[in-house]
Amino acid sequence: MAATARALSPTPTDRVDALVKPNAANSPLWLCAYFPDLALAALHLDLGQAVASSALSKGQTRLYAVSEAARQAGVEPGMAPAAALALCPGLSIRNRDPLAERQALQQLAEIALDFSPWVSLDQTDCLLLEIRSCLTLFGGVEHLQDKLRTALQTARHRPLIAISPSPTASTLLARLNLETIVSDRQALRSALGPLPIAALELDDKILHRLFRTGIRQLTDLWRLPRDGLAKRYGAVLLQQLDKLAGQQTQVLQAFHKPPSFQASREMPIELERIEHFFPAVEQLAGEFAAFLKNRDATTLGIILELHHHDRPATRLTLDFRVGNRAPKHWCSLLYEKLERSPLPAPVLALTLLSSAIVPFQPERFSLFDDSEQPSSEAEWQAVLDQLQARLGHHALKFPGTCSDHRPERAMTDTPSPLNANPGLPSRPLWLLPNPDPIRIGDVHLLSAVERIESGWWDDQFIRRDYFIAKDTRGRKLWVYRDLNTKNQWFVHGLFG
Amino acid sequence: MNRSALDQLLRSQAGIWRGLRSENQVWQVIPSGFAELDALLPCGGWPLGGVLEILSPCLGIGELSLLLPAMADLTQAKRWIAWIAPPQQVYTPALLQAGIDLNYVLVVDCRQAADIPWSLEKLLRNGRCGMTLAWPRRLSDHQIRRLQLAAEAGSALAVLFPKQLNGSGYTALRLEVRPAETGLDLHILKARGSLQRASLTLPL
Repeated sequence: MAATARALSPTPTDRVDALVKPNAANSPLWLCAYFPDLALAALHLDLGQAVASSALSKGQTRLYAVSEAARQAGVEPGMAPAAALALCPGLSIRNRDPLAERQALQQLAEIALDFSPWVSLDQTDCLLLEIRSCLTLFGGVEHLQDKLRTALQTARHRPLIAISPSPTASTLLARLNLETIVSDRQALRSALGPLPIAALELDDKILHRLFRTGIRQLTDLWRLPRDGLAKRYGAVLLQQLDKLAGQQTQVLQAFHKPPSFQASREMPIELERIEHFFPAVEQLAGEFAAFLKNRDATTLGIILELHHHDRPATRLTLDFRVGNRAPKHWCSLLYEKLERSPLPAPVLALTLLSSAIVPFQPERFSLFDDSEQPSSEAEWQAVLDQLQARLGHHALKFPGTCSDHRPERAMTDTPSPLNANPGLPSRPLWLLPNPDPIRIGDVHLLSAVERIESGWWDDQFIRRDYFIAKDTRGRKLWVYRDLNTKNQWFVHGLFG
Repeated sequence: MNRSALDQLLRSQAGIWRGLRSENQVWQVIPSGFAELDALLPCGGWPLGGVLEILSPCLGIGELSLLLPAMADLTQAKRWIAWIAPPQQVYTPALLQAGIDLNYVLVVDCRQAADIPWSLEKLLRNGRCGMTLAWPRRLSDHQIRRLQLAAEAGSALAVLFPKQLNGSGYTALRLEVRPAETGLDLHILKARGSLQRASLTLPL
């Protein structure tokens, strides 16, 4: 009996061993791909030419990154553009674009996700991949490194790749252009030994003090007693060393691909009538809605592609005003679009795509508001979506006001937070976009003059005397005398 | 059959219209903001859930001012005012002066005349829209009937400024306005639930 029980449950000592002694084969291995030319490649510059990107540093324009060709001409990062141009007259300098760099790095991270499920963008211009878990799949470190390098180079970026059990050490090695592979934690210290201490991310003061004591390389630091180092140079230095040696756990943020959805349906035969293939669209919409619901997300737009034989696919695009995950609503909009636009050929297959996926925001209700809303905000937005889908993107306008004295500039087509009434004399309900010239004899002035004189700061200077007038047809007009152009009279608006 | 039984019978038949001021037909209204006008309108205001036709000889004689107080009330109640294909640019500072909350003003551009009744119907049927204004060139009886039903469903006021006198039987209220020396001459040509034809002059 006792033997059976022991066989069924592993002995407690075994379990403790597994927890205490980390298996070397399971400890993470970090690959760092560093992109020295990311700032240039993100601007789509030709790296074979002498090119450079510049950025503002302490109020002055300085070169931020330079290509290899420029470097050979003597140009270095940190130079003033004028000095660089003197050294290399053919140098083309572009402004650095951090946003483009970030996007380029994200694209590279998406490629890297094919190699490892764990990619981090925490280090600037670097990708960090945890590769221990995928070594078997790719058949060893070297194979994985080669494949990753090829994939990244296909995306027109030049990576420097270093591999070690510590993410900090990998980053350091890659940045120093040392493409080494250190798979063992024991070998890490000796591999890092010859590196200069200037490569550490340390205060200039501490570096200077270390330098004065004759410490040049990391080996010199490894040899010193820890407590003495901590006492003299602070805990930061020790932390750095521990991170390098992989003895301190680091929390890195994982990169996740922005979610997107794509699903297709093949038709058994070519279908021409909407009623015949529309059930498939409904199915796809249902799948997408389930996808969104699982992720607690909504979509801002979907694309339906209808594939034909020997013809480019027909694309129907829907954009929503607010995030939406109601398949019925999409289907009604798509159906309407399909009904209104005849298809060039019968449909062979359908694809539903969406990459505009945003987090779901529930409708907010007031706790105490008992007034019954006739219909919900979502339904109203659905109606506006319908109008927008049929009438076009710019058909819906939410006019607002703008604080400008010039009447034609006092209104905008976009909603404005500023909706205050500044106590002006009364304004007409209709404003003519182009004022009509009139003869003043035809109208009868009703009001006192209102002088509007404004806009001297830009080229739209106006100087006008406005009146309310009535014409022979009984219309109430808003007329003005233009003081800039020989006192000519114009109708500018109608009081409806 | 005594009088009250007959009355009951007539009340229960939806198809029977009893002429003049029939007290048994009560619908939702919104006060027009003009006391003299409210006194003449059935139930004392613009019908919410109905089509209102305003016949006006030309733009700008004050036909819109007639509606401004009701618009202000509707936006204060957080209901939208939709202007469908307005013939000129709607000037927002004037709306603001009339007390209309611009957060509830929507202007819809319709390139094609056929889209106008469709848009109107969509907006009216949804209860969030309180009033629609449109200047259609031509609407058939059938279309006006559809608008009337949509307006009833959403309890909204559909205002039409037709180019010509349609003479449709389906509108809840039809007015004719003319400019007058002292304001606006107003004739009620047709009002649902009343046979009375009234005229008045509003100082605007």
